Amino acid sequence: MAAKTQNSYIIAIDAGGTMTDAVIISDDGSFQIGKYRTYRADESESYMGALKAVADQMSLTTQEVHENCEVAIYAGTAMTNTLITLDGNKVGLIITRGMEHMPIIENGLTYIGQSQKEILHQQLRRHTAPLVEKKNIFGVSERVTGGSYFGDAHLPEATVLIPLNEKEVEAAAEKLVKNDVEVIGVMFLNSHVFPDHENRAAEIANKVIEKHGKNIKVVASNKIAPVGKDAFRLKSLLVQCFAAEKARKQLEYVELAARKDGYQKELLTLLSFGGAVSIKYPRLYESIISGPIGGLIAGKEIAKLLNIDRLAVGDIGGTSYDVGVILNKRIELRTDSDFAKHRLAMPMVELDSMAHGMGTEVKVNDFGNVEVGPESAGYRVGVCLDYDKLTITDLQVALGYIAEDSFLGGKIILDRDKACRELEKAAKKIGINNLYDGGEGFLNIFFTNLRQFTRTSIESKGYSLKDFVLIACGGGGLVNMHGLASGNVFKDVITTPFGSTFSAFGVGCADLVHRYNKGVVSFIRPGMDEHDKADLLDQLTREWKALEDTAVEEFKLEGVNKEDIKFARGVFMRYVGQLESFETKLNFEVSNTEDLDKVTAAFEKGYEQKYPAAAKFTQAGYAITQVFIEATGPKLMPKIKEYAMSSAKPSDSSYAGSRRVYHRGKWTDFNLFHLSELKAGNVIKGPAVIFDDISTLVVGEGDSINLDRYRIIHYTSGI
Amino acid sequence: MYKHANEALAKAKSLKELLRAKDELTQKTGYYFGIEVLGLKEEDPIKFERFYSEIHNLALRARESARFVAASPGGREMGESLWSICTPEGDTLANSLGFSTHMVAYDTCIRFMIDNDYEENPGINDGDIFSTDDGKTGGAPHPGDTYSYMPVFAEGEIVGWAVAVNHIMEAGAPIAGSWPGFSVDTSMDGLVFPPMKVGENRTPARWWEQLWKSRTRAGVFNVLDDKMRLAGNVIIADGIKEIVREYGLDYYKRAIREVIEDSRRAIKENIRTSCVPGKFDGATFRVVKYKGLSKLWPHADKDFMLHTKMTLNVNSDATILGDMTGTSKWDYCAFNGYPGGADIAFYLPITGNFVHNTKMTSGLFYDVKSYYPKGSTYNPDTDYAAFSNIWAQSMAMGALHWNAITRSMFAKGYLEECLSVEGDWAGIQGGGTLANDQNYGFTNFEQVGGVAQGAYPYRDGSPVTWAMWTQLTNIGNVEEWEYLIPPFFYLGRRLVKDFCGHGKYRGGIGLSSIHWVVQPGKDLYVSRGGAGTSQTTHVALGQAGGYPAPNSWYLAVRNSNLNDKIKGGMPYPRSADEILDYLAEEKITAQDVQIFKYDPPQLKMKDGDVFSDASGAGGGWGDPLERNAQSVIKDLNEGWVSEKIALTCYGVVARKETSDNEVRYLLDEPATQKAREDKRNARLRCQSVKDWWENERKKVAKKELIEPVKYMYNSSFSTQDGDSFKQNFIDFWQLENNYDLN
Repeated sequence: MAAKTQNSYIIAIDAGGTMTDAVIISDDGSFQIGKYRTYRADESESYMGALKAVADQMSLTTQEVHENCEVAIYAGTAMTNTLITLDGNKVGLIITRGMEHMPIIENGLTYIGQSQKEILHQQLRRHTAPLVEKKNIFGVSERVTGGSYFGDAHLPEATVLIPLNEKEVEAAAEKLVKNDVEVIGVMFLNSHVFPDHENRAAEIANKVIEKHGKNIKVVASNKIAPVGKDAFRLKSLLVQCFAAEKARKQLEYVELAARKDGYQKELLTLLSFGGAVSIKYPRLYESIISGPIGGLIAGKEIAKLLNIDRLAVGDIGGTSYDVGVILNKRIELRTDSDFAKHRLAMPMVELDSMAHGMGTEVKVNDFGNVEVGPESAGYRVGVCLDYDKLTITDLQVALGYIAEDSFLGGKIILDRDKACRELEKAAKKIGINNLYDGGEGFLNIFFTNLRQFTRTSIESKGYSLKDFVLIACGGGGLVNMHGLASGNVFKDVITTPFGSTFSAFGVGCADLVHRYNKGVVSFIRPGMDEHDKADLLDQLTREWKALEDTAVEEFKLEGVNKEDIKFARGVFMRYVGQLESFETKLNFEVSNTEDLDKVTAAFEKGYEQKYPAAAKFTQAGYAITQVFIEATGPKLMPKIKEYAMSSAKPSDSSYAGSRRVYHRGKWTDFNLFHLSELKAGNVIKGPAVIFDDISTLVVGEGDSINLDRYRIIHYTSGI
Repeated sequence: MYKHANEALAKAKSLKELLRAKDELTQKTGYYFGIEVLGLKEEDPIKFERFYSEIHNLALRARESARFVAASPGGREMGESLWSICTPEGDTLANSLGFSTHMVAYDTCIRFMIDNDYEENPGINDGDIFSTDDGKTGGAPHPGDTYSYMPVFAEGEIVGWAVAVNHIMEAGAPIAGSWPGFSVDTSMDGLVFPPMKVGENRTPARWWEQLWKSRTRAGVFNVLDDKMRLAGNVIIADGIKEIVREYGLDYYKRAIREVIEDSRRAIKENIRTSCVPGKFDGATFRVVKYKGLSKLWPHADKDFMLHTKMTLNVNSDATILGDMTGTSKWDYCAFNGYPGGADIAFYLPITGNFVHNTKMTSGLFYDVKSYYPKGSTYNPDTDYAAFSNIWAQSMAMGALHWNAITRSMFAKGYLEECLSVEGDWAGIQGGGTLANDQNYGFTNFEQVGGVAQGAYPYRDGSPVTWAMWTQLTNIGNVEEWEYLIPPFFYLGRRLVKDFCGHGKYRGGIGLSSIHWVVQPGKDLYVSRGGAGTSQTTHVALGQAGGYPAPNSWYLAVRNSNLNDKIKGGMPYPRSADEILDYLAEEKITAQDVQIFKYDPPQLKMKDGDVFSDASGAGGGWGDPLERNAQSVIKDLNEGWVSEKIALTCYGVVARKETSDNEVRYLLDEPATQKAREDKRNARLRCQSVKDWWENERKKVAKKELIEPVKYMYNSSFSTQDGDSFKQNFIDFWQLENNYDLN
């Protein structure tokens, strides 16, 4: 690209565990991609490094990019690393008396993140290390009701049973200050419906801190995750205190480095539900998972571009396969989420992960059964490079799909013979003498698992696979696409030329969006009278309004004016008696009591999509357990460029020779093509391998791909 | 009848014929269904794995989708539910997450339906829904566990069953809750029904919903749970049809049986490689305190003891037989059960130790077997025995099995796999009437959801970490339990100092909660579901010299001044032990304080009363005098053990340092050395085993045993195999051959 500065760039960075991917998007929608090593000690170094890798390709300096940058969004790993290495803040906790051991027993949830095989091996269970030391946990007397299944037939929610003992709070704060904690969390039962005790305790603690002239942040659970289920709210609070406040410092270093280099705006980061926010955002723990979220956001952009109502994003990374769905061009959310063996209470995109990636181990066990995963080579590659066990990458190398001399643009040479020797051993164990037949078989199991997992993920949400377009992405997305597409079970299988850095592109596409929720205890019972309905309507309206006011305040931090914010409302509800609430978005006004019928109709519509008719229970009535809003601010969005359609035949310059690949039971010559030379309208018939420095796209025999006017690649499987 | 599986699959005209063929071929050949050669696996191992991946994913998918319909935390996120796929004759192919050994029951239920000609009446058709919670005919462990079965049809024939089970909130017995205690016979077990057709065309009959509403105290919850089971079964039924379409009916029928044989072999191989063969004995006892509670049923008005005896034979051909000879005869109490339900507990250590590297199918039932003597607690020779709380009694039996396996594996050199297993749990249950006349019933599964690990040969156990009987450990959220059970509010949920088995490595510490009654309205009654054993030493009788865990206990404090004191600003008590401290220090006073180390009867609770439980402690491993003294000091400083236990149990002398009103313990090394030396010397002066045996023998010979113990042994002598146990008893005590205890 010619050297020229432009008025606005978007810098999007996705810092993974080993590599930091960067995308610079120009305002014409074009973009460049680059990678750099991740430096955990100082992420500003990898930020600048990755940015430079891209700027170099554009013949620009990073300063030129920064000075003309509209927005920089950085999805980092600081919080993940803090939780894994346990080097977070020294936390103090003030909790409802009697609940002091909650951080230690964590409700017994010791299986989080395990596969069924690991779960069955239950004597190996361990708790996570507590995020707060026992000596820094203090109980204080107070008890409040949370409301019950029986509604007003018993004590309503927010009834104070035992008033807050303020002296105990003061004494606890004194001790915590003396113990030199760096941050204090306050967690009381049912504070999601009655925050007053927590807020008062925080106030008292702040006074004590002020008295001692200390700088200790106090965080109340109702400000972090104002929803029921105490164990998960507590975990959210602890993660916020332990890791998020610490991670904020890393983000501030990154922002500082960018500012020094000429950046004049706020640095943004990505939340687990897909919104980009200022790094000053109070509930920063919500950014705990951001890598795979980038892929979903990018997916949403593709869905909008191609007008796809049912899109699944299948992101194949080094160690995991993540599947998320985009319905009606929206990212779906779930209410509690698991991360690093902790279960949190926060809105997070619906994303299912399985331990299947390019580094996943393949073995034949002592019973002659083939096992794929869950173990993996982590950040390593396989026996062909730096690991002692056979991995998916080894299979791809042995069979010839991945060339031994083109890994990362030929910077690293792989040892194919070694991979073959290891594969031969495994194949012989199940009586397959031709190692390549074995390798193909193993790979087929991998593909089947990927397809089945995708299916489970989609169908458990109540949808049919045949209505879905699957977008294959991530470091392993393109090379495994033919496996995902086989059998033609999806409506379409697609990817993009930048599929292997899809997440980073998605980071650049993130909306400036905040989400707010609040637990409530409300019922819509059969035969409810007008008066009660009016009360309920009042309550809902009041709660939504309060959340919208908070949104306005917090957007001010990011320099966004009230009139530029767009709001959307919704509730979580269920049949009375159920314990799980279902997100119900309300794309209509709820302004009079008759609209409540529309609310229940919207809920039942979602429910019926998922469950058989006999699973409905209308006569039980409905419970509303949460209200929420989404507030969206304005942000420059990248555009994917539209091209004039060329002929089906690719240009001669794209052709790069051929390579022998063991494919469907025999050695076959695959034509090679340069990915960057393919044009909109081109059709490539398999067998073919299409590649650039960071991607290898395999087109199987009898299969074909075509590039549409956005250069988005559509895969057609012949089998 | 048929020479091999393929012939049977091609020619059998009914489920009955198929079941007979399977039984005969398995019996004759020693291979499941006579499958000596895994033809499909050998032909195309990859296709075989792919096939199973689809079956297995289907079971996983059913749960992940359906569980959100649930009303009870048990079904939704705790481990108290399961979805499975079965063969037409009742063997399990694949399970979702959940309490997986419930799959034993499917064989009992499906076998019952086949044997009793359900194919003809009421007929087994596509879209039918069957349900049961009966122990005898349905294999249920207790009436709270409710099963739904949906036959799966493809190409016009039945190709399997979709099955779901979950633990419901209320079982509709005289005693409210889901483990109805104090049942004298099965007529008091609650809403118990044999396998019944309860719906057609995937729709439950109207009467079925009404039955739950009128015959249980948590109708709405139970109906929702029923809908949850149905939702998952529909997903399975549709999924199987599709798999049959993809692989062909013939492949499907052969492959599902091969999968079971394949995993049977894997489990056998696991046993061979990880166990030292031998006989592993274990026994456990329960006090049944019914005297005074059953005036209306004089035959049940008695205090007695139940004996569970297990001899686990780990054979050199890698088969296992758990022989329960010596176990008590069934009685007029809630603690009996039937073999299907008992097996659910018996197989727990098999899934925990031998299945995690293969496929979890019925393959595990063919080389590992239980034997319950006819007439015993686990196999009554009557149809009328109550089985409402077999779970309490069978967990003790399951734990005996697990500890036997542990000893066998420890002998082989395993460490990480080995722990002291107690099988202790508790469940609070009850019912009441609110001020507006609203009736309700409830079960709080908290202390069923997770317990402490026992100690390992190389580390301490940790609190609320696992449960032998469930893989999805979870004690539920306080806020959710309060939402479901209105008059109960938690004043605490915490670990109890010293409440563990001590040892070189100590067990995990047990949990105690306080349920504080606030405005119960017109009535509130509470009881508890039970525990591993009661009032006796725990099951893992001290592994390698460690102490067993202390038992569950319960505390009811009624008519107290607690509410006044709380109003006056007193920091409230937080656990069962702390209430006792408050009472001892007269911080509170009460007219009515009861400690139960056995099932309390239903207690009427009023505003300001509290009910507190303490349960789920783990046992120790190794001699406490060998525990690193600094570990004891650390436990002291963290508040997990008291000074008294540190000294008397561990021989550790601690120095106290106080600054700023905070006590810190430091090790007094010379004094500790001396204390430990003294304790070792004292052991040398204790009674020898020989002397103990001779003294005890005199008492036994003169029949100087207390009545409940006499009753217990006579009961054990009177089952079908009682004579052999009696001979064992006579041999051990070297008594006259005509000895009797009457």
